[in-house]
Amino acid sequence: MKQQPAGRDFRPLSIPAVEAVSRQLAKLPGIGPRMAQRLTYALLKREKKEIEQLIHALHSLANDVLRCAVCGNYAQTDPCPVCKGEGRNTKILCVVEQPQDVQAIERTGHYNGLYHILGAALSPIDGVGPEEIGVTKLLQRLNDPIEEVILATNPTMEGDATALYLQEVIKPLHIKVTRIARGLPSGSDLEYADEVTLALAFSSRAEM
Amino acid sequence: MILTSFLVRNFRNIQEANLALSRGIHLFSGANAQGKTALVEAILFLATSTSHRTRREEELIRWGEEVAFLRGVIQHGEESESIECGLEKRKKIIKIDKRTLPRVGDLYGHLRTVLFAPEDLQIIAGSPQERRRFLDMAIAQIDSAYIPLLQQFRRALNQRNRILKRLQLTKNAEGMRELGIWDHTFLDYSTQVTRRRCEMTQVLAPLVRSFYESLAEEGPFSMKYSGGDEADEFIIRERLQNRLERIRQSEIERGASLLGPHRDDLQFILADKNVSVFASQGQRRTTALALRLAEAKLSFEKTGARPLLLIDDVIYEMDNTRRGRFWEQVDQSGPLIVTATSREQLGPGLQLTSIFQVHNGEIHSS
Repeated sequence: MKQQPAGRDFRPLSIPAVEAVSRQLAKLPGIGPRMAQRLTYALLKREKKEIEQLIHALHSLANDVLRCAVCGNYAQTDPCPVCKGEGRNTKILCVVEQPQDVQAIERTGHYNGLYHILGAALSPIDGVGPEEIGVTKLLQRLNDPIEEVILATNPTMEGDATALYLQEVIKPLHIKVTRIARGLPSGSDLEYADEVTLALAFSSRAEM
Repeated sequence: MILTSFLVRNFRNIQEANLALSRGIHLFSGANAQGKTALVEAILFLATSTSHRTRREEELIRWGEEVAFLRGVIQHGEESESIECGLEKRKKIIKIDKRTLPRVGDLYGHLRTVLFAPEDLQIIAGSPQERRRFLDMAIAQIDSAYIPLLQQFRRALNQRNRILKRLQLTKNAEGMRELGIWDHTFLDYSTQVTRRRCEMTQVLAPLVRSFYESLAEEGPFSMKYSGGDEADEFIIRERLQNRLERIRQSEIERGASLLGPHRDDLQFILADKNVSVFASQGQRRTTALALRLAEAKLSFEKTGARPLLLIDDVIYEMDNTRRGRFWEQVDQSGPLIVTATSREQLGPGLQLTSIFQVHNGEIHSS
């Protein structure tokens, strides 16, 4: 076994600027202290110009991005391009939990209507009720000539409860309310599906 | 399904024991507090990675040691596999054929056991929670989707209780509407749980009845699940919904869900009387035995393999007649491990394959 030379201090040198960046990065989801340090050193290796570009991008993120007052999505204009109705079908409204859900639906290229972002799903144990998901704001939007509301909350217990709640409050307005379907993912194998999904796919099977 | 060899290291008071077993009846004989129950507990731990005697698993590690270790070889027909279990203070590693299991839950089914123990009396005489747990464990053995369903149900219950707590403080129309939503979710999951418990009760009832009446020569004996008699989701849901509407006011006053699978009970009825409340100690013990015999029979029917029966410390409580009837009902063609203070305690006529002496944590074949 190799012997450590005696009398030497093996604690790493403290570099305050490096530690400061690491601490900030470690606050992000999915990044632990080790990963944060790795990212910081990766940044240090870059050219100064590149770091400045990152600073500029972050600065713009903090100052130029805002919430659209109509749908609640992130945008750089208020109202956002979708809510301005540019090239969109303004008679259909799709309700989702999070802004990321909008990105997912947009990627499909199969939906051309408007969006509404709740920001959360009903969950009494987390203190989220109708007020916290902005139901009043959603109902105000339905004063516009909307023909269909698509409820695209997550297929979880809370997402389903939210959909059920919204369906109840929208019903008296005589607007068509639909819920996105659930079942097996395309291109997957039956044998890998979990029991709950497979059971649901069976109970909601369709005639051919 | 036969446990052909079993190695125990540093488990309870057993320092090391290496046993060769086979089909047939194996007696572990010894005075009290020598390690008989510890051995049974070790086999159960290998099968389920839980103990029936403690939730603090570090208690299972032999005093002064760091790691307890169990290894069993299980023969399924022509094939065999090994289960290994290493237990440290805050860590448990289970391996099947030397491969670590990602989830402890995946252990179920590799070694099926049915334990008869004095603690079973709690199923009969204890709180309804003990009886619900018995039913839930019986269902989980044959339905892998049941435990996740039960967890979902508990979450729905918590959500609904939170709304009821809020309404208890301030009652308003908005809160009542929210309650309606969580009623719906709660009903969905309650119905699914109730249907499964109902089905299990229906499957077990005739088995338990026949075992009870044979053991005690008295009856009629029956079993009833208070959540409903019919395993029909439509009927279960309607019934619970109607009952919920009737007690709405008291649920709001108490700020909690007062009806549902978390309150239901499994009732044992002997000649129109509830065994949990009115029966004698002897009748309760017989009910517990009948339940375990039924569980073993069901396990055999569902899987086609006889489970390993572990009969610990229940024989000495019986008089000669009861003991004779008990052995008549036990399926002796499967593997069976029984503990007693002596050979004589088991009664006459039993074909023993082997006898082990248990003394001060040491186990020797004799």
